[in-house]
Order: sequence, then structure tokens, then C-alpha cells
Amino acid sequence: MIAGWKPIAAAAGGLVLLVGLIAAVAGRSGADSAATGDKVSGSAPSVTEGSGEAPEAVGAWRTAGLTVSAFTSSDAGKVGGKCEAGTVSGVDVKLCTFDSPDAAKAAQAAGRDAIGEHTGLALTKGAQLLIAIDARNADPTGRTLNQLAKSFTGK
Amino acid sequence: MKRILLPLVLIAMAIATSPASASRDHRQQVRYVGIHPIPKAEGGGICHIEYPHVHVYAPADQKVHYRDHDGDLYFVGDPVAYGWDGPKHGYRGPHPVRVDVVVGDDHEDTEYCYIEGPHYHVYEPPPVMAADFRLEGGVYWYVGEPTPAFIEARPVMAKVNAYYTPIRYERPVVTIETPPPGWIGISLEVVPPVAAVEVRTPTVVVRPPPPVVVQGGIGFEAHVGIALPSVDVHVGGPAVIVGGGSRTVIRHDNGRHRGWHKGRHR
Repeated sequence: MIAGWKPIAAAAGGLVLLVGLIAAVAGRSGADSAATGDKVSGSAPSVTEGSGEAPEAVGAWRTAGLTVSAFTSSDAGKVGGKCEAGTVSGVDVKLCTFDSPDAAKAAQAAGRDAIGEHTGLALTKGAQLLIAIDARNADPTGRTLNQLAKSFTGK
Repeated sequence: MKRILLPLVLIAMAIATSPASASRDHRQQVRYVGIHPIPKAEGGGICHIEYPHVHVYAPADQKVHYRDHDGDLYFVGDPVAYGWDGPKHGYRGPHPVRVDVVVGDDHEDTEYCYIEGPHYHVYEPPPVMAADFRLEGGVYWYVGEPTPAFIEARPVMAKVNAYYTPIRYERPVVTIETPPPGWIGISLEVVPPVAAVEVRTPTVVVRPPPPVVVQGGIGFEAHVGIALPSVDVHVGGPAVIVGGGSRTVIRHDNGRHRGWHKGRHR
């Protein structure tokens, strides 16, 4: 009688393990997504705009008629460099300054990765890398993103 | 116990790592450069980003409408057909496109537009190709020698024309009857000289009356709009082309346009 329950108990144990595995994988995946979406918007507090070269681009965006939030220092994450983050007309923006133009270029792919599952762009100008992410679909036709890029690159 | 657990673990791992599971969790980035249509499933219209950028959707009709430029997809079609309302320049017949000049980078790349009828692009022919284009009758005509690459890809790429036939939009109006000598369309017999006349019947649109407003009295207003009949003549040959709807007049800036060195046209 007891022996007859063994396969059932084993199967139940297996099912528990299966559910646990799936939950673990789903949890990891969710964490990945959250991390991706948080790379730009999740900025550290403190620090005012004014450090690095960011204000020049910020001023250009204001001049272009875009609504620019305060820019604060931000975790550079995998992108590297010294970064400041804020929003421009509803689009999440991160400006990272590197030691050289080559270093900024080298970080461009990581910048694209940071865009994750959204529309966005990662462009360099000199030693600066601009990462812009439309995480909330605030710019469905890309007009803001285009103006952001145009003012940043100056061409 | 082991005999039961092992298959279960393997099944769980297979489910967790299957492509279907991955696609649910992660949408693949697609790299673009320049403006391009947004697929209807993604909202439709035009993406206005002229610079390299990413979306998480693939383009519609990628084979005939897009070319690869340094790993980015570049749209070679007519953006006006998809709602572009910015600066535009008229062309007639197939022609080469210097993608590097249009997008403003230094990776030289010549692609081809295979649209045979009158159509628009956001750019003018670049100075480096100016000798191979004629601006006559309000549109640019390519009078250069078609390259082997152009000829080779034409059987497939010319299918792009089927996409534009049913789209009703204001195409450029060509105001000359004879194309310039050497136009690529003559040697390729781009459009057979068949004329078609389309007569639009008048339509009457009656709008529903607005709600009655009582302000010390009673107001009532009805609007009746009558669309007048119009005649569109579509001439297949290199003669006069009148686009659907109202006529479009191409305004040229007589050389005062932003130079090609800028690379972008807005």
C-alpha cells in the first residue's frame, strides 16, 4: 500500500520542482526587463545640471522648444562614462561623457542595448554619448527623438 | 524517483529556454536609419527619425522597400505615399540613391529606387551625381547609365511598383510631354504608352445636424457638402502625368536648398 504511493509522491515532488523552476526563470526574466527599462529613468538623486558637457545639449533642446527636466547624475551601468539623466518632452534621456571620442563610440552598442524593448537611439558627438528612450510611447512618430538628435549632433 | 524527476527537469528547462518563451519576454530590436513608414500594426504613419535608431518591430515589405546600410535598414520608397508632409522632391522613373549622403555619414553606399511612375523623395540628387540627373518638367529624371547591379536586381525590386499602384496620394505632376534624352525609362521601357482616363462621379455628403441649442430661442443648422466631379488622366508613357486628387505643384528652391553636405533634409 505504502509502496503504491511512492510514484505519486515522486511525481508531486517533480511538479513542485517544475513550478519552482518556471517561477525562477520568469522571475529572472522580469528582473532583466525591469533592469533594461530602468537603465535611463532610474537616475540617482542629487547633482544639478552643470557638470560635464551635458548643459550644452540641454540648452540646445530648450532652444529647440522641447520641454527639458532637470538633469541629475545617473548610474552609468554597462554604458560607462560619467552620466546625467533626465527627460525631454516625455522621452528618457541619458548623456554620458567619456575620456575620448573613441571611448564614446565604443560605448554606443551598450547604449543601444540600454534602449531595450523600446524605440530609441544612441548617438555620439565627440566624447559624448546620447541615449534617448521612448519608454512611455510619448513620441510615436519620432519627431521629438529626431529633434533631440538634431540638436545634439548639430547637423 | 530519479527516473521521474529527470524528465520533468528536462521538460522544465526546455520550456524555459524555448524560442517561444524568449519571444514573449524579449522583442528583438531592429535598426533603422532615416525616415520610414511605420507598419499599420504598430500605429501606421511615418517615423520622422532621420538618424540611426531602433524599434522593436520589423518593417513591412522589407525586401523591396529597404536596403541595408551598415547594418541599418534604409527606406528607399516614396514617403509621401505613407503620410510624409515635410520637404519633398519629385522624381520620374528609377534612379540611384546615395544613401551615405542622405543619412549624412561617410560609408559610401549607392542603392537604387525602382519606382517607375512619378514619386517623391526627401532629397535632391547629390552634387556628386548631379550630372546624371535632369530637372525638367518639375521632376528629376535619371539620364545616367544603369549599372549592372541595378539591372540584375530589377526583376525583383521592380515589384515595388505594385505597392504604389493602389495608394491614392498626390504624386508629382510632370509638366513636360517628352522626357529628356537619355532618360533611363526609355531604354528600360519603364512604362508602356497606355493612357487611362478616370472620371470621378460627384458625391454628396450630408452631415448630420448638430445638436439643437436652446439659448432664449431655438437654433438649427445643417451642412451639405458637394464634392465636384474631377477628371484624372493617367498617362502611362513619358508624357503628362496628372496625379490623383488635386494637382500638386512642386516648388523648387532654385539652389537655395540646404546643401548635400548637411546630409539631412527637413
